[in-house]
Amino acid sequence: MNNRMRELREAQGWSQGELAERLEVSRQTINALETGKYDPSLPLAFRIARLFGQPIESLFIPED
Amino acid sequence: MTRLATRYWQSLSPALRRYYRASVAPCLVFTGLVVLHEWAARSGQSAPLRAAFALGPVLAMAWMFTAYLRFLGDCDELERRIELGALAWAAGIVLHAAIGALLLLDAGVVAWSARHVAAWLCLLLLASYALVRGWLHRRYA
Repeated sequence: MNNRMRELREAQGWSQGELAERLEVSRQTINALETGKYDPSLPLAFRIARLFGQPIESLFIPED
Repeated sequence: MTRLATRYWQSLSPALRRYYRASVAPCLVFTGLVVLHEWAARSGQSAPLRAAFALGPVLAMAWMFTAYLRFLGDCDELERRIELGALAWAAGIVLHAAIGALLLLDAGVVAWSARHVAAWLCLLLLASYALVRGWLHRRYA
């Protein structure tokens, strides 16, 4: 699954570490999410969407 | 060296840092109790005393395992996936090795001592857990 996390994080001027702190996850998790190596659970996906103020479907884009 | 250790420590998640801090005391107690067990086993103590000293380190391990279970509850979902994956692989590898050893002993093909088999299985468990955990961390890095 593709996502717009890196783009939105950089737009906010946050480092991966800062985003990790805000979401209460490890920096490794943020990196794995941004590089598409790991897809988040539904609760984490909702937390990310809420933090960026975006609808979940505009953040996570399924690969066809 | 100190800078490298500091950078490594800062790269860890808060849950993992808490776990490492919480496991220092049980590790020290475990080491002390193993030394006491060695002394009791070699100095001709009574069987109940030797049994007590032999099982002491197991209690320290249980203390450490409690800290590990707390870490599993505290960590984030990717860390938990990595830990559970490593535990599952390690358990599977050791189960296969234990059954293989049991059947080989039963068939009379090998004549290993129970002490050596138990020690090797413990080592295999720890080594396979560490290797798979490292591999999974690299995979998600």
